[in-house]
Amino acid sequence: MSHNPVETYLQEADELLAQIEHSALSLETGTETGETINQLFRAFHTLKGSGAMCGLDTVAAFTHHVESLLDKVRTGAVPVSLELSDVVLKASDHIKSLLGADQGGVPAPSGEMLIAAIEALAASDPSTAEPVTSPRARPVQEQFESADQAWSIHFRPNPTILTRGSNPAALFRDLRNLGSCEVTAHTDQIPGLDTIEPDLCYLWWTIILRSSCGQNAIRDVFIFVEDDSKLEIERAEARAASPATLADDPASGPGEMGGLHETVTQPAPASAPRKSLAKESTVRVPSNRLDRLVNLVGELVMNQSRLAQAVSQSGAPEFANPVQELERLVAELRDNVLGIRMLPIGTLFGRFPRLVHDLSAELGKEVDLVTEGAETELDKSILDQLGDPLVHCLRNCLDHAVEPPDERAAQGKPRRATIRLSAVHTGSDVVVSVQDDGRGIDRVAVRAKAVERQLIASDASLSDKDIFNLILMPGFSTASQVTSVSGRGVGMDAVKRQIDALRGSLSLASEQGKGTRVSITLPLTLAIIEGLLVQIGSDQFIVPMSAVTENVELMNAERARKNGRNLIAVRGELVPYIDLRQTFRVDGEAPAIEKVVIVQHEDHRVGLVVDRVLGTHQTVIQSLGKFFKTIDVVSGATIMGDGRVALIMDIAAVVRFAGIQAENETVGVSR
Amino acid sequence: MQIAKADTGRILKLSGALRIHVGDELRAALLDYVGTASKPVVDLSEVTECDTTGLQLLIAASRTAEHSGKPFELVGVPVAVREAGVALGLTVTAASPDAVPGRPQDVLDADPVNRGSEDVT
Repeated sequence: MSHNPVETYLQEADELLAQIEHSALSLETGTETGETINQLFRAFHTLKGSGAMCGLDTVAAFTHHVESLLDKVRTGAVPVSLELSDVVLKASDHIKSLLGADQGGVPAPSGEMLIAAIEALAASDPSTAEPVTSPRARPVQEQFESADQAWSIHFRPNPTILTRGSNPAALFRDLRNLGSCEVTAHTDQIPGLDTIEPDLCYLWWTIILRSSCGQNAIRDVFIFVEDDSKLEIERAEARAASPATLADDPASGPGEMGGLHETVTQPAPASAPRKSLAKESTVRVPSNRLDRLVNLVGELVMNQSRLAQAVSQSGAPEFANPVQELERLVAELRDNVLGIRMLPIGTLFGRFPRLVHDLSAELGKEVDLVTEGAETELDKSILDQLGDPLVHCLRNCLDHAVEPPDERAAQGKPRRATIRLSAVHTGSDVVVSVQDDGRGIDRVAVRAKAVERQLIASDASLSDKDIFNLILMPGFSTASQVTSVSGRGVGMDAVKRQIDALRGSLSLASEQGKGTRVSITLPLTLAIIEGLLVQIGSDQFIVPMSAVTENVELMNAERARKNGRNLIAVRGELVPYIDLRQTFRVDGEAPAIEKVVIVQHEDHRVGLVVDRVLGTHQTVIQSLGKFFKTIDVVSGATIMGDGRVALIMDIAAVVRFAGIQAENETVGVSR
Repeated sequence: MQIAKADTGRILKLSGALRIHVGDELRAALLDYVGTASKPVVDLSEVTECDTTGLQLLIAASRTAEHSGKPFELVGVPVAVREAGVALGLTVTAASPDAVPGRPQDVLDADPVNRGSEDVT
């Protein structure tokens, strides 16, 4: 298979642009370090160089302007400022549109104005720049004195440096180009001839450099060897000891020099670990190949199940052990393949700081976005579909829930609101939450709007939860103004539908004046689930095990009716049940003893009455196809060991359907 | 690189480039020589190039000799080798087992003929 370098470049460009965005936002909030500018420079430098190699000359030409600007920032000629952050973000957007246009997408807008802004910033007088005034701002640690500065450099390279073609002598020659240099080699690590490996480098060095350059220029000398080596650059006193007084005892450690040491070495920022190509051991795999692999594993699971059933029916004892071993191996293969599809939700969370930044600016609000649980893993196909619902939730939050800074201050709240985006595993689900410290849901306004739209009677008695759920109805919005951000009442309804399609659930909690929490519960994977196989008449169905809490029996004689709802007593609690034979209009008589599968639906339990419970079943989910897309009570199907099809129930949809059915029967409407 | 014995086998003469690509061969030759010679002397007068590997092996040879209680000498140190050393922060001299590579010292050209008048530190 031929390898397309442009495709590789586009994937890497995506990652670099995400990194650029993250770094640019940290410039604005004052959380950047000196390394941030270096990272930005390297990212644009790589975009330019690799783009040129792939023939993407427009991208390379534009990126050159940004690279030049950042080089000036590195040297201190241009300071870090809000304007710089803004220009870098816009440049990143423009590069995205150039790449998209190059791939046959919408033509990119002209970059002339942006280039003019970049050049103007590069030529600007530092004294007139708008500084970052965030109280958390730390000065970028760039040392650019015009007078000579003494630097103490400790360089202990990776022993394999020589085999990679790197030459320490060349590095020291480059250092000498920066200023006067005293290089001291330490030979203590060199073994005797009997154990020395000629290819390895046993030498390490301490260097005193006197130069007017900054630390970055020094670090640039080691740019291609730094990742695998130990490199420390410290400011040494100008009157640093002469070589004669250096501790040149080979047994001594580094850094034993007189004078004060003000450590200006930048610690690796925890939020942006530098990638080292030598340490990476990942392989890029196209998603469609992974999907094909999952499908094949699914077929394997189903056929293994059929084989097991056939062997069981044949009663041949010699097949029992191999089939059991096959089942174990297939289960392990299934778990491994599904594991490959799991990605940390942080890949999705990474989109949102920019969204919150832009929306806050548009709405005149001040918001901090805090993310937690970014390492929580979800199936890729769920992640792909979770983005839009989360964007809707964040937009609603920013538009409706978060108050303007002055209003917050008047209430004694901090001017800056906090939106907390979190993900946590709970059993076989993941709960993703969006929580704010805003004004909370106005129950009175919601109720009034619902009465106005005749969704509820004016005297209806509703719990808080019922009121909150009104917000999830189509077209519902209490916003008096439709903004470009939200207010059309489309957002939350679309969110609910999308979450239902993922076999998840959505709930709201709110406290007036304190804040609101939107919780989205999702299954870990959509491809293969543990299911409970049940039978009604001659048909088999699958109930997702993640929803099942227990099974109980239901005798015909025990059925009771109360307020038009079927109820069963389960350990002292009355649980409503749905007669699926009736709901699905299955012909025939129910057995004398039926089974009730108790499932968790949102915050309460519901029973599903079936003829028999046949046991658990590894369920490979197959789509029903486009002709059955509108049937929402069934989320898919699976093929059983005997080749028959079992339909997989969508619990939420079944409960909704049964509720509507019961309502219609009560008012005498036949369906 | 060429390796030869001179002065009835008392001196090991190295010629050509002492670089990483001949590292294994150089190590084996030095190990054999230092192990057998009672007072190892390595003549570098015809060495044309030397890199980090070459210098490390010479230091290893002096260390091996030192551990065996033998004196070790480098003679005919050419400009190429001295400059390679300076570039790496090493001072290459006609070294006795007492000298420590890396200590700044005056560089001396050691002449095998006038060895008796060498200023060895």
